[in-house]
Amino acid sequence: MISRDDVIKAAKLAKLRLKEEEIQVYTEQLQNILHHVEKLNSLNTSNIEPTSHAVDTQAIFREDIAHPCDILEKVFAVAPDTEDRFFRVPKVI
Amino acid sequence: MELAHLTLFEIHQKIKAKEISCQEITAAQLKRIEKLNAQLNAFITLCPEKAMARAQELDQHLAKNPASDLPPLFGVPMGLKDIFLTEGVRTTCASKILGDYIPPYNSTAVQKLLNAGIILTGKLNMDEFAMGSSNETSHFGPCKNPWDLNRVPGGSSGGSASAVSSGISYATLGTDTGGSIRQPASLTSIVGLKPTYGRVSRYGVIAFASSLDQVGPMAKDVRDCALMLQTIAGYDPKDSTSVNQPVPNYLAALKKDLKGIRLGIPQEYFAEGLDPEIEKSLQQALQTLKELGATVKPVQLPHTEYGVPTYYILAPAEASSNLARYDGVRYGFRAKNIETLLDLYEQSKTQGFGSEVKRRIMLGSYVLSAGYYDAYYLKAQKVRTLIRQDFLNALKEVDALVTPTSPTCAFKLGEKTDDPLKMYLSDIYTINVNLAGLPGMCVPCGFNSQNLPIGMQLIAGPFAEEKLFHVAFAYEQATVWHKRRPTL
Repeated sequence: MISRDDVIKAAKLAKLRLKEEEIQVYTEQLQNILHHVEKLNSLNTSNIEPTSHAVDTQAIFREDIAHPCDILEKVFAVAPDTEDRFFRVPKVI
Repeated sequence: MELAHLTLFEIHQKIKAKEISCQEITAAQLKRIEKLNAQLNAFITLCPEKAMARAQELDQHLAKNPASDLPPLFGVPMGLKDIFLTEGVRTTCASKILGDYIPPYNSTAVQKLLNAGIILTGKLNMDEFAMGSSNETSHFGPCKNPWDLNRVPGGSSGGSASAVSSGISYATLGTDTGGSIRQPASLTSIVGLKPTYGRVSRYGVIAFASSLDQVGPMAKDVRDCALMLQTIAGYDPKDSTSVNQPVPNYLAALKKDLKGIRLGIPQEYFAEGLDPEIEKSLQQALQTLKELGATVKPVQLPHTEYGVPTYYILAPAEASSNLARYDGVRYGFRAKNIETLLDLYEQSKTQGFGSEVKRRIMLGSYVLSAGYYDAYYLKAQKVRTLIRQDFLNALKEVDALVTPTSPTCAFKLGEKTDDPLKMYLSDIYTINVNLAGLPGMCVPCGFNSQNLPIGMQLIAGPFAEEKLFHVAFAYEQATVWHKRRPTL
């Protein structure tokens, strides 16, 4: 069953910061949800193939041809912080 | 009949006959939106100037071209769920994290509607990132049900359902990951269709759970629903999960009798937990279907009860991956007063996402994390196989399945918000259809003693949308439920 530490770890993996009271609430809620999920353990699925997609799909290939992209200006226009044609972020090195 | 309550088909006739101009119809619709949106909160964003300018362009086109050549959606004002990217019109996905986002391009489904002549009036409310069954997780506040303003319209396409039902959008599109078209359609007395996974392109539709999400029409009646699907269906090279199969003529599938049609009633869907008034309406609907010539037999879907737990592993897992892209770098909300790159990611996500989205991202991260992947994610994918096999086996014996859409009628605002699990069970009859990738449709089939709508769900095999249209149209023609409108 999911513990308080698991919730802290999941939040860290998801890059979310939780307040103390949120950790408590989420732990309780996720425990309830996962308790409901435990029902799946009553099924024997050892010989069942997993389905990752509801329809039969194959890898889609196409020729590697460059197409003109005329929306770059608009893409940069909605970015939070840019300089020339770059997205600006805090210094990493 | 009042202009706002006309069907797409009826408006088309009026525009073609030049009884009404695109500008007149758009102005009337914008006026109605202004009047009703204060009560309903169905629209997040309105674009009246753009809409009127477009209406003027279309009127000019009409003046120069023969009316007989018009596509069936020509001149129809329409709002769209705020999950569809719309070039130049703010698209928020009902989240603070995309609160100011103006997309540089249209999603394929939107482009197809525009090509067919619609006039975009604005963007419709929804649950944040489509996560919810009541439209209460929206950053922009809950949308209300036009049949009772103290109740939810359902989710996540709640704004879309409320808008069509109240006549502030003539039809619209929703997206359905676990029931988000069918459940709100049921709660507001409109027709909603989730097509087969891959039938409609998802390009430019903000992703929630990619293997489950599908775009579909929401409309006042079955014919309008067929017109909408006809317009948006088909292969799109920009979406590698869209399926390259010819699109049939859906309008040709609309027939008035059901001779030779075999319908299956999954016994598991009529068990404990179903509201007795809903069950009664469904029984009456089955009687009508028999009178129309259908044969009805019980069928079994033995893994039904495993659908909700399977969904709440798979959908959050996919969501946690899809929503990792909202890092505050390239678009969307960026937190202020940041020192490091990690701070930027963490603060932007923490301040930008609402609590339901955070809950699902964490659930997804947890079930995918080292040590738990096999126990949860792989297990759920295997159970998904069993659920799909159940449907395919049942559909070997019958043409379509008939089930309730929602276990209850529209519930009160706030009634389920404190208990996520209780909320998740709202989609108990719709979720398995997404897991199996099948088409599912909701049509109005009655009202309870409090005048709240009841919907019937029809389910068919892969790419058998025509069968759904056939059954739904015959039923609709024999009943009056779809003609009732809420008084506002």
